Amino acid sequence: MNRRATLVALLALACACIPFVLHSQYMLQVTDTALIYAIVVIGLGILLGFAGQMSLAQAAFFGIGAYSSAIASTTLGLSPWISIPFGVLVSVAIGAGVGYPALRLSGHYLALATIGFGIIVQLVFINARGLTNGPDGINSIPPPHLGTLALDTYQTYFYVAYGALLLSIYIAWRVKHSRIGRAFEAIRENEIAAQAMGINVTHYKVLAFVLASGFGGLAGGVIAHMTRFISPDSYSFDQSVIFLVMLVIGGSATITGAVTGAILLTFLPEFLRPLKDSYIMVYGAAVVVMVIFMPEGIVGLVRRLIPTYQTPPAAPMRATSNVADSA
Amino acid sequence: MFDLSATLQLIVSGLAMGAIYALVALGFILIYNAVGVVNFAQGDFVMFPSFIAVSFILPSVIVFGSVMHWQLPIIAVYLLVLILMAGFGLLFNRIAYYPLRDRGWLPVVISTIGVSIFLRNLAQIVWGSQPIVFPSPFALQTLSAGGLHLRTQDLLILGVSALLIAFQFVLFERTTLGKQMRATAQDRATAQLLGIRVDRIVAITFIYSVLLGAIAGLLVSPIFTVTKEMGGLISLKAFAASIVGGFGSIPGAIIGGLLIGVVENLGGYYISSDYKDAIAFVILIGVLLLRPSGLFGERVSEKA
Amino acid sequence: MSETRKRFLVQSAVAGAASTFAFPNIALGKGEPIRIGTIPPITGSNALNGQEELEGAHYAVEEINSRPGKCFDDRPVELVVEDATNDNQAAVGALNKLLGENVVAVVQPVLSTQIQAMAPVMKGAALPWMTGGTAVKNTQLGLTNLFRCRASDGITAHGLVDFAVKDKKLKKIGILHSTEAFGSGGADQVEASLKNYNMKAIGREGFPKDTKDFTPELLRLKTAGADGIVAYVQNPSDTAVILDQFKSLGMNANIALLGSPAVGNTTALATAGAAAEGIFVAQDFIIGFNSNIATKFITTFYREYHRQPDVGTGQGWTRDAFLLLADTYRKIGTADPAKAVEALHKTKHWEGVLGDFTCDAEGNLVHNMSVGVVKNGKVVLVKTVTVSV
Repeated sequence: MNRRATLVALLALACACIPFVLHSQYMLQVTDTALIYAIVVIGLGILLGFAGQMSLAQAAFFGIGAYSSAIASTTLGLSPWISIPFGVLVSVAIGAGVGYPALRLSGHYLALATIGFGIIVQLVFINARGLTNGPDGINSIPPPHLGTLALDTYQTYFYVAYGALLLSIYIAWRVKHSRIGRAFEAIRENEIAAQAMGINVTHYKVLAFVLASGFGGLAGGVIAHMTRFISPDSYSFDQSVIFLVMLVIGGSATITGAVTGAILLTFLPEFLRPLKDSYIMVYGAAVVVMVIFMPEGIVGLVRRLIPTYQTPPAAPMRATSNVADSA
Repeated sequence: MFDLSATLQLIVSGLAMGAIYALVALGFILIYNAVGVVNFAQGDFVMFPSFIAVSFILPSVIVFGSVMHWQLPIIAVYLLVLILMAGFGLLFNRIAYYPLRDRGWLPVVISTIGVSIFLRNLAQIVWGSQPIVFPSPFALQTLSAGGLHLRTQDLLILGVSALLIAFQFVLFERTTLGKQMRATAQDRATAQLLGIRVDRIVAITFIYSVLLGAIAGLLVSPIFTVTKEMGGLISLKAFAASIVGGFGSIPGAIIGGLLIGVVENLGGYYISSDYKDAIAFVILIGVLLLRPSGLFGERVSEKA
Repeated sequence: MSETRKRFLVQSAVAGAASTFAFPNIALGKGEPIRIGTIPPITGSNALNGQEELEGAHYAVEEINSRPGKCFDDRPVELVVEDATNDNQAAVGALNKLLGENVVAVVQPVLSTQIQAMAPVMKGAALPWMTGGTAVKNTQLGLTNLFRCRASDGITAHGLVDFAVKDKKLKKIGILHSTEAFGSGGADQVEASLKNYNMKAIGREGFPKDTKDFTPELLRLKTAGADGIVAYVQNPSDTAVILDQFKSLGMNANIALLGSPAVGNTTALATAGAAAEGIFVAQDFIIGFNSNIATKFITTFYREYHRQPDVGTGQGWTRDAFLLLADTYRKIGTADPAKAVEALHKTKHWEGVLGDFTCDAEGNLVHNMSVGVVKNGKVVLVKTVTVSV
């Protein structure tokens, strides 16, 4: 275990040196974006991968965090160091608000309710012009400052994104290896049995939503101060689907999977630019193929091939279903 | 301020749009009932056959960047599309569902999402990004009576949908195949024990569902233009409609679809047109919270 | 779309690949190509527009490279292409990639949201930035190197409203618009222009893109008693359905419909077919192409591509952007970005396909628009409007 911890620490340190090695603005931008998306997908991973609750609204929380932080820093003049946590709070509050009614739903019902919620949120971004400036979006979002140094280059912002990601990984890891994580797993496997075992399913389901929305909101705030311009088109249902695909391809049962999926699927389109139109088609086909042949995602596949890193088998992707399938 | 003539007009055009939602929702429900899975690609089963149809109806069409002349007589085209889409339904069943059939619903949902992405972008690669106009076999006229205007195509949509629903009823209630389909949907294990070739029935269900989508596409394309995005929101709203009507219920899907079509229009007029798209989902969420079984569905309960 | 499209896509791919082995020498000497970058949305929901603009770029480069002296000093223009897609992140990525390939100027985007997303990066890069977005605020972002190569929404809305009020004597004007940036921005401009005449819109109906049934929106305007509707619609499919329903609801009998520039572009009109007859459209160029340059462009383009180009929103403005850059470089004898920016600000009465280009303090280059009416599927000129700089 110690050897593993050392390796992880070394990896983290090595990654911290990336801005010194990578000089291309383009690659740095893509890297920063990938790190931020990883935060979003970790959140989804907790909700779906750990607790088995389907949500297609992760982009909505991403957007809520982004808009809250953007509005707080532009109209109220708050420093990003304050507005980003504010964005997380708003996102979490709404996540809890969504979590409670979501209790009664599961499977497709929940999925569709989250889709509906996501679409409504985006419509609010577009139409509540007094608050969000409508489809024109919000520009001139200030970058954070460290003293007098403005963190407004992709190089310096790397550390903001990276720090947020490390924090997210840490929190997710702690959650997974705690009572909460075990409760999530029990709920994922069989909600009714979990309840029978004395687990307060209500409490934990809401918590799962809160965590997912919190991570989404954090990522949103972080990206808003990097791009310094946000608009409603970035927070669509299609984007939620992309986050889901990232999780599934990376491997929904683990944090590593979430991060891998996000990073891979952020870089891949960039590398496949020469393919132009066909890229997305290949991507769609790849999703089907992967789901059939690699249900545990890439990380699941790697783990199976490298015995040293096997953890007790994580349950392959299955979520509670309300179809009376007694076969 | 209540305006009678406007309201009637809104209801009339809402019903036409609602009929499309109903057809797509019906397709959903059939697959769901049969295999317990929601098909996110249902809307693209409306889009893709529309592209195929229009390629053979127009005197010239641009395919892979080159101009092609494939024009065929209309009846031949409709038949061709139905046959091709039936084949596609078979393929879809085999590739996206069959290998995943024992793995629960999430992998299949994701697989259908993959198919949806694939189809949309395949459409763009083959036919390009230009929206294509689908000529109507009937001249696009409007019938007016008492201040109400109904496009002939709307009338066609309502008529064909009614026919399909009647057909559906006859199929399910009066034919052996239909009964086998219902039995499989209700309880696969028992159906299998009774000698029903379940896999075959499932394949047939898929084909039928895809065909419903194709017919919806052929009906609706003359009014809209054919674009790769045309199936997107229709799909989600139809999904919402089927839940409002009662997930799993066939009459529910139909009523749900019609209801959403009409309420959307009325809401767009009386409340707000900016938020029109939200209406279907607000209704959905309301129904999910207050009466999850929908209008006609069975009580939702989980089995241990 | 034809062999030429495939050929040019391949060319772009090759150019893009070749550009990764970038030219090290910035002090460009005689014969050295001048690398101009462009980031159209080649894939994604604006792919149609993006591909037209890519065509316009290739056309422009050919035009420049086949004239005596090429760009200047016998140096050809080399096109560097990246795909902006329709995602803001990817668009900024495309820009960053382009900037890493030693270009001296950037042409595009057309989407105002992408322009705003790219603004922080382009501010730092300080290259001449020829954009095609029409939202008024694009030139108010505080960038001195941003130039707008089309008439802004302020100008087209003003012209349209002017025509509606003064020429058609409409008294109760309603607005129909799509709720994305172009539509909402345009609607705002229409309201602002109406204020100049002490009028208010009798209704403002927004619809989300890809709406299938416009009955609620149209009926609301009808009930409010509109005698004219200004429609700011970007998507050709939406345009087609609106025009069709406008007619089938019987509204075309006593309500005038005035459309924003995109409503009159070739794709939209072709898609709408007969339903477009009799509607008025704003165009951000002079309809009728009574200038030599415009006529030459249309005929040459048609000869090569066997299609009508989209002057305002597609191939036309793109061609003008490149040609203006080339002519500016020729005038100052260098492609140095800072000097080019300075010279571009001094543009006076340069003639493009879109008309007269004169640069104002904010970087707007085009100040004329025209209103036309659709007759037999074609837009016929009714009135031109020029706003003084």
